[in-house]
Parts: sequence; C-alpha cells; structure tokens
Amino acid sequence: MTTLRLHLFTLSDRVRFSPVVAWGIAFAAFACAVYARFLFDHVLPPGFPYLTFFPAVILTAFLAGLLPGAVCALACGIAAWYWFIPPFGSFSLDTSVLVALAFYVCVVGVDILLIQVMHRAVDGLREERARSGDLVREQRRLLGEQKDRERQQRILQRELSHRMKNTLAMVQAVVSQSLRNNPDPKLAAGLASARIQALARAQDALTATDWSAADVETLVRTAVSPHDDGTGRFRIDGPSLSLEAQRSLGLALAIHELATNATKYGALLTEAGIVTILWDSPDGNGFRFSWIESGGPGVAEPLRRGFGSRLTERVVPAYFKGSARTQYTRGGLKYELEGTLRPDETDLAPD
Amino acid sequence: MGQSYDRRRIAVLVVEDEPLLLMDAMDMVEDAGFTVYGAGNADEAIRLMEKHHDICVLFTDVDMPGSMDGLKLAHAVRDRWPPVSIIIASGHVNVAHETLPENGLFFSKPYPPVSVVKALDGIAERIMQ
Repeated sequence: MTTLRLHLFTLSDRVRFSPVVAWGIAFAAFACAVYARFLFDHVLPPGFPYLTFFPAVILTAFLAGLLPGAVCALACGIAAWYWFIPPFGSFSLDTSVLVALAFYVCVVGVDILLIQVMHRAVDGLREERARSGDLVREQRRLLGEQKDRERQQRILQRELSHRMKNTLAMVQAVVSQSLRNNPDPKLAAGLASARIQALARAQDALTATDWSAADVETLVRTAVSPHDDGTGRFRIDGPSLSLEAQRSLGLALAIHELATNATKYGALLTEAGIVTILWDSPDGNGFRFSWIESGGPGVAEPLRRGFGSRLTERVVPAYFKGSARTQYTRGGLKYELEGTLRPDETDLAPD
Repeated sequence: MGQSYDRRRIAVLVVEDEPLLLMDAMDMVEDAGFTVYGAGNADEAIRLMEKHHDICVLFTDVDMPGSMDGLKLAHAVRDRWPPVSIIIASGHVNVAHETLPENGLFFSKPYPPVSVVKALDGIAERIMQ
C-alpha cells in the first residue's frame, strides 16, 4: 500500500515537471468532465452543476500541479456557469448564481490548497529521508575509516613489538656469544656492551623510516662514528641504498667488529692509517661492500676465530645470502662482502 | 638425572631466518651436546630433513620469508616424519595453541636457553628409553 502511494507521488512528480503532459492532462480532464456532465445531464436531478468538474480539478491539481489545476478549475467553473447553471446557455448573474459560484470557488480553492500542502509535505519528507540517508552513509564511511585506522595501528604496534623482540633476541645472542668466546667475564661484558651500543646506533639510522630500513651511508657513518677522531681516517663512498632493518643491524655489527679490530691491531692503530669503505649495488639487487685498510701495521691472520670473525665471515654474509672474504695484507685488513640486497625477493621469484 | 645416553646420537634441526640468531641457537644446541643442523628457511629445512635421518627434533622460528612459515613447516614435518619432536619459537606471543602441531612445544622469543635445553633433554630421554 505504501509503495502504491509513493508510486502515485512519483507519477505526479514526473507529470508536474513536464509542462506538455501537465497541460495536456488539465485539458483532457476538463474535456472529459464537460463530456460526462452532458452525458449524465438527463439523469441528474437539478442542482448539481459541478458534479463531474470536482474530480477533474482535484485530479489535475494533484497530477499536474498548481497552475494547471487553477486554470482547469477556472475553465470548469466557466463551463458549469454557462451550460449547467440556469438559465442555461448564458452567463447570467443573480444572487443565487453568485452564491453557487462562490461555493464552487471555495470548494475548489480548498481542494487545490490541501493538495498543494500535501505535495509540499511529501517533498519535505523525501528531502529529509535523502538527508538522513546521506548522513547514515557519511557515518558509515567515517566508521569504516576509523576501523581502518585502528586496524593499521594494531598492525603497526604488532610489527613494532615484533621488531623489538627480534632486536632483544639479537642482543641476547650478542651477549651469549660474547660470553661464550671469552673466558674473562669482565672482558666479555665490555665486548657485549660495545656490541649492544653498535646495535643501538644502528637503530638510530633506522628511525627515519619507522625502523623498517636504513640508508647505507647513514648506517656506515653512524657505525664508525665512535672510532672517527675527525682527522679524515675514513673514506666513505657509495650510492644511496635502502637496507632492510635486519640486514642493517647485521651490517652495523660487522662494521663495529671491523672498526674495533682496526683500532686494536689495524689501520686505526697508527697515525697515518686510513680505512676506505665502499659499497654499490650491481644489477640493482646485488650488494657489494668492502672495508679496505691502508697505511697501518701489517696484520697477521689471527690464530683463533672469535665471535667477531665468525660474524664478519659467516653470519653477516648470510643476511645478504652471499659470501665474504678477509685478506690480511701489509697495509692492513681487506674485507669484501658480496651478496644480494633483497634476498627474500629472489626467493619468491619463479625459477 | 645424569647423562646415561650419548646426546650426539640425537640431532636437532634449527630453523631461523635471522643468521645471528641461527648461529647462537646452533651453538646453544651444540654446547648442550647434541648434533645440530641449521637452516635459514623452510625449503632448506625440508631438504635437510630428507637427507639426515638422525634428526629427532625440529626447533623452528615462526616468522620466516619464503613459501612456508615455521608453523606450516612444523605441520609438514609432523605429517611426513611423525616421530620428530617439534619446538616452536616466535616473537609473536599470540601463536594460538591450536595452531601448533600435536605435542608441539612453544617458546616466546627471546627464549631462555636453559629452558630450551631442558626441553631438548626431556625429548632425548623419552627417545632413549
């Protein structure tokens, strides 16, 4: 029933906004009313001049709108006055005719007015409903956005917590490795503490990107900073490369071991010693890193492989799915690392 | 409890994508007297499982890149080598218990090495009985 009523109003909307149809309906309603009035004239008792005109006016006012309704009412009034109010076939005007016409004007006036009020009310309701619909949609959109934000925040928090635990696990490994390779607990504690500081400095190089990656040059400069006395002992050169967090931490640990070693036995021990650090990325996904000491005392190959050399020779290359080579030359140590920048991507590539 | 059995006959496969953690975990298992194999991802782990029939324990990290994470690997090993004991470690504490394979042990990272070694001892004793 509600749908039928709404259909009627939709129909009326369509008619009202098309002048040709609106005026056509006004004329048709008038013509039908006149024809029907003539048709039933002989069966109607006297005193019903407007009988068929009222429905015509109401229908026109409802379907075609205010102006066609009013014009139709005027035409109907004139037709009724001329043909159906005695004396028939003339526009005579006496008191009784005047009263009858006045009644007609009142009745159709009230009809048209009520229909207009009803249309306005329905239009208002429809606008209201559209507005609430918009509001509901807007609210749903905002709610969706908020949920997305919350979800993203939860993911980020989980990711950060995961990174934190991974870093703590690395710290635990560094401590246990430092203890494992040194019988003197005091010495081991010192080594562990220096390595943890190296990890902490690498974290600083990572902060610019939410701890997800670091620029190699920033990483290298931060890693050698405690060993740099500001007299140009380090020559650092390489392209701008982004290194994923775990690989950054690994490389920072390797640089720390190399620098500590150079300070104790290598190029940084003498006044003239220089360390050249170079890196590049052949083919876009390759990674080459070299640490070349010169001007230092000749370094002999150590007899015992400690955590430091296991780290530089086996562990850190594994971060890059590559290999490393250490040479002990007259001018100092030469360390070369070769691997891939993003090994996980090559893992996923089809064979 | 004493060592009435030769731990070297028990081999442990450690799977961890983080090279430093892999080395440290392998050292921990080796220091405890067991034979140890290490893998950096699940595919490598499966290859080692196929090759070394002395592997009795799989000790794997959950979060790993590649075709299989640690949980999938654990289930694959449980299906193909049912007698192999499984120990799982993860930095995510919320690894649901029901996602672990049956009788699988879980350690939250960073894990206490003593507890892991104790768990390995327990497994070794069960196997040797």
